[in-house]
Amino acid sequence: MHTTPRQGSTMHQHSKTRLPAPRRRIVTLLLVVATAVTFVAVAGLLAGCGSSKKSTTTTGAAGAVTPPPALNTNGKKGGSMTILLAGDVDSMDPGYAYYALDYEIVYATQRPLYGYKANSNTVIPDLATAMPVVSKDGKTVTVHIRSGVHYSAPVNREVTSADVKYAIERGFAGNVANGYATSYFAVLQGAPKALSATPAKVSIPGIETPDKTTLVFHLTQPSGAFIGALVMPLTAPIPEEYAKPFDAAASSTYGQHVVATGPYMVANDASGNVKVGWSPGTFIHLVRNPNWKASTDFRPAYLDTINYKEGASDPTVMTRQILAGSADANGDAPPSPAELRSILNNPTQKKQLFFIPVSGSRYVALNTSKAPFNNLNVRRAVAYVLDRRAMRLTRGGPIDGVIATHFIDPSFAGLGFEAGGGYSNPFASTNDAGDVAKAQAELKKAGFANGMFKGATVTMVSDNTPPGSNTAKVVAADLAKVGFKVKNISVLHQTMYSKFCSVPKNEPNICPNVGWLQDFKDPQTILDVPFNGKSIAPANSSNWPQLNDPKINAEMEAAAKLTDVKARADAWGKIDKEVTLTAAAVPWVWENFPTLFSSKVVPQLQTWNEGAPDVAWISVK
Amino acid sequence: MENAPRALGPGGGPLRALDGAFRWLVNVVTSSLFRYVIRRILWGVVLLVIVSALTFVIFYLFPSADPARLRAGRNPNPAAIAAIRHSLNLDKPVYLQYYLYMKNLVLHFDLGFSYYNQQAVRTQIFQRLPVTAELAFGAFVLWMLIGIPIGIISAIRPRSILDRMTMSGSLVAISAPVYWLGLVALFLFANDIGIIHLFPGSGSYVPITQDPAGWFGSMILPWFVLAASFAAFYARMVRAQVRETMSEDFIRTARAKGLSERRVIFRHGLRAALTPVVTMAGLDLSGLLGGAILTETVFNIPGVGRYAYDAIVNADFPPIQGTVLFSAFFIISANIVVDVIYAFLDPRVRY
Amino acid sequence: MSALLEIHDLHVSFHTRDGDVHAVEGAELSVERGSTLGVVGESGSGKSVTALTVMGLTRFPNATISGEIMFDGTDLVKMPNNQMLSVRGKRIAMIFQDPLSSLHPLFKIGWQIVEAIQTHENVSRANARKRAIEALREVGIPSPEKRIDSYPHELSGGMRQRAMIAMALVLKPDVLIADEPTTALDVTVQAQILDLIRRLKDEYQTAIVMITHDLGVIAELADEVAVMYAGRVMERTSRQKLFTIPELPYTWGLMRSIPRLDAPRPGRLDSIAGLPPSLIHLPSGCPFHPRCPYVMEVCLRVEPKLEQSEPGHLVACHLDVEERQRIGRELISLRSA
Repeated sequence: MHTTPRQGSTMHQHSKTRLPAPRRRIVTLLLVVATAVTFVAVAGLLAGCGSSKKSTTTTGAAGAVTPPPALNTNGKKGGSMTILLAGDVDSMDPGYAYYALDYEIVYATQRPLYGYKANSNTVIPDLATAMPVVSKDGKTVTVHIRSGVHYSAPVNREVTSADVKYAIERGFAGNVANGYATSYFAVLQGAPKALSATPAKVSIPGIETPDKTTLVFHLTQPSGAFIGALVMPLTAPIPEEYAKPFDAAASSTYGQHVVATGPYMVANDASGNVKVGWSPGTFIHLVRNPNWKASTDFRPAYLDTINYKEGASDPTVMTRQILAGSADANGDAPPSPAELRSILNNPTQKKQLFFIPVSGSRYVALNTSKAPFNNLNVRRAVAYVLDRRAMRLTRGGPIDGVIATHFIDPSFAGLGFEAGGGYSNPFASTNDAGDVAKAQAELKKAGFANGMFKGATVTMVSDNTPPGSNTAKVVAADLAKVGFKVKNISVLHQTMYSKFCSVPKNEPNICPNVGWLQDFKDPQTILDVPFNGKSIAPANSSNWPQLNDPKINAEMEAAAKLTDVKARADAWGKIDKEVTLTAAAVPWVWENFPTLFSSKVVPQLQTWNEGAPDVAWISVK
Repeated sequence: MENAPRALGPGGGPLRALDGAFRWLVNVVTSSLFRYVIRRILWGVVLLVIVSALTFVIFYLFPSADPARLRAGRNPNPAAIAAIRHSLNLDKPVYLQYYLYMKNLVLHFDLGFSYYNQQAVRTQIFQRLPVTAELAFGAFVLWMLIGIPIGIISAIRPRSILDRMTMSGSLVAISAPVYWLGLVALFLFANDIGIIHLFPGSGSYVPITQDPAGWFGSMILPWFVLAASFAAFYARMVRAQVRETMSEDFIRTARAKGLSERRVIFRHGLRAALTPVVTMAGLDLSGLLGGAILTETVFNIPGVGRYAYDAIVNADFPPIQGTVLFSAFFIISANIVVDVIYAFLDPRVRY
Repeated sequence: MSALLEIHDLHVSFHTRDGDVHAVEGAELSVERGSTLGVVGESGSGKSVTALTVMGLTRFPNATISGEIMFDGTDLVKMPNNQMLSVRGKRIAMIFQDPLSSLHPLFKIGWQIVEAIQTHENVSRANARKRAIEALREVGIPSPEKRIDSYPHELSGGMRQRAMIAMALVLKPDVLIADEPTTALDVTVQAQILDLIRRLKDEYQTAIVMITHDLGVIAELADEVAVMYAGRVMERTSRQKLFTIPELPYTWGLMRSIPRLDAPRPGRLDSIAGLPPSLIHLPSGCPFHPRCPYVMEVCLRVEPKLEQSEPGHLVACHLDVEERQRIGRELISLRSA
């Protein structure tokens, strides 16, 4: 009797209706699962959304380069554009500028002696009035500069030839440390052979300024590369009296106070400090240079302002923002391969996308200074076995570019490889997938009886983030096919260079994630520094295979002296062949860089600079 | 009576006030709480020194970029590199480098210059700190306003439909990675790339002094994304705390006194339940002041977190050291502040 | 004279995942104005739940309460919550076992007492504060105008309990329910607190329900005694009769288990064999039968009713009355020798 509960309580808080215990647990479980499933579904839906559903196959011809647009000669004046950047410039100092992004800004704000129109690789005079006049013996080069070109505030005065002399000289100072000064300008009489150790003022007597608009360069030997290098930002004029105090610092601070001669300038305050226009890591504001005169310049400069937004680290978000129109172009990072494929499937969007060759190649460097890659046949085995198609796939597949077979890439049409005779790929394989049989044949020639490598484990240092890390995995797997055991260390990209691959003492057997791009449209810039024996340095060496072939070195010295364009093409084309045959470095892709524009602007590209947006020619529609 | 002020006679008003103030000051300085705070501050300084030394050593020992290389361009020569290394003090032994760094820091509050773009680290951090603070405080307000009431309601109505929904929902919010959540938020609600054009998207940040309305709009999505997992965590924690507190004996006494249930919950219950929550919130907030790296990255907000992220990717040591020090400073300070606040909130705590 | 507080046939059970917990099964109690009812029993006997139910503090969603609690003519079981708020703390007050955990640790004791006053009376803070100081003085706390701003943890155990008593009595309630108020205190402090309670009872004529497991406390303070087991009242009588002729086997067990200072040291302490029953699965018949040394066959089948054996003595047991009285007297004389 007493075990049954009494009913009859009239308390208004009496028990609510409740499910019995086991049912309640199931309900809870279902609720949790339902919420989780919803979230996963949402994510999947969103990732798929925005991109066309038909984007499963690769489209377009393998690595097809897009024809550049027509030159924008009649654009609407005014307006502004936004360019998204994942990274940042190293410096605004034209004497320091070295990478594609630096050039994007420099060529809109500075006027080197020579430059380029948009969408063209042809060098034309910029600050200079005409192409350089070279003496018969090739040792004297004369350039006249325009008058009426003024610096932006706070300098304001007119540019003189002495300013160009100062600009080139300071490039050799240790506290400016221009990256190519010793490569191309050391031929000047009196130029230091190496960057100075202290920020002392460098004086190059070989640069003569007989009057305010004339420069006479006296060289120690003829040099076609010097003439080509006159297009580099190092020749952009710098006002000495204004820059001197900044150039006296342990590391020059001129970049924070830079003045402009081009149509645009980095916004600065009254004292000349550009912190108003450049917040590192955040933005760069380019505004019109009020002291620039359109009559002295071939650039139209339609836009009023250009706003670079930095920190766009997610390529999908970046791409969609450009397609949606909240940004107008990508400045330094490519859209992701998935987004590219979906854009190519959309006829309207396709018109806004351009693939421009980066002019250079990626290659796998084999350390020739120590075993086993000091043996030619072993290197040739590697060149045969590497599956370049799979390696290219790690960077997006055919969209990424063309499989490389030598170093001077097709963007040098008529200036490089074919001019030097050309030949078909010495390490060809079906579908570029690698040829194990031929690799083994080479290994047999090297003395490995059954065609499989036997020996110590080879070391490799690679990128620790994709796609470099994936490429390295492919390389290791390919090598394993012929018996190599590979030990791979993954590090930060910067570390890979500065602590390992560029330090001969520490360099592993293989550096798979290296590459080299042109400095300007001359084949010497592709081959000299990366493969000349004299480039090998105890630190920061860029000759990663440590190739030091006396015959090739001598040929390079001779070819450097040539000034005739055709002769240079011929000579360097032949050198390309020889370097390729050493298999010290195995090139695998000539990349194209995709630049996407919004529908609001007229696309114009620096085809000579990886297809970066050419803001001096872009206008709003 | 011992503590009465001495009679100071007519005109003793201001003098008496001064005397009272002096006594108060002596009381404060000799109180155990004051001595505790001083002790903690001194230990905090020691901790900061240790943190800075550790960061220095780690960066020195483990493979990372050679700073001289970063500055010397693509094809430099050894002399130039040596010159740069010398100007950066990199050719000195590591303890000397550390000593010079600390000397600069303590005497001039100089945190060095980025190897990457030669910008002064201190300037960059001070410029970006307000931005990170805006993000952190906004998210803080949001997660407290959302998490705490939800936790209280769930505790008061345990096992109701609302309780089950919020607890399972909070599990999902806690498990969702911030970066993923940020991307989903952008793809759903960003007014450029989202399905529903509601809020400004990634990269839309403008300083509040420049455009207050634009600033507010650009912060909405980041605030919610950053607050999400915290709100969920706090909802669960508050729920547990409140439920535990409501089963305490003094709650029973409060009810026995005839207080309304509302007063029992909100005056007696929450006062005891939320004390640890307040201190925990202070610590979480201080951690965020060191930079909400993932949120700042996905929404492209130029804060200290973003700065640290870029520095790490570039293997740029001085900013890394600077941001680590700042972060450590905030956390250590918050710990001290929170402990002191706790002493005020809970009289049983004695130092 | 009708009792101030009368509990009839009170049943309280809680529905849990493991089954229904029958905390109180037909309790019968009454308290006269100005007298002290001692409720004695071990843990789980239902004494605390009964007290809390009087206060209306067991009204959980999973609780089933039936029966009658007549207080001054009104049935508290049926009283709505908002009306209970004016009874709780004002007319019936309760103090608890551990004053350290039962007082709010983060509020000063003066604040807590003032709150009790201001909840039920519309007086100013200053006024209430004065009354609080007086209440503290009354319960024997020295320097009450200083102590009023102390936190509970700053007081000793005895002081805390006095403060709790002050808080309970400041509004002069008709009934004070004390749930084991001395269990957590030292023996000497215990005596002081019991003295205090007795003094206040005499002064204000407060009815007291003293819940305890300690027969010594009963002997000190109670006028009437109720013995509870397994949620039932099984013996109810005056203090005097309980300690001369106890008539319940359970009561005998309780008394036997108190060791005596003057007796020779026994080999083992006397205890009641077995364990308290599970309140979910109660034994059939008499709940004490598994542990009763005098168990009979009928005890397993039939639950004994609380019946009068003598005027003023109610017992629930199947044993014959004379037999019970004989055993009871014998037990007392053995222990008094």
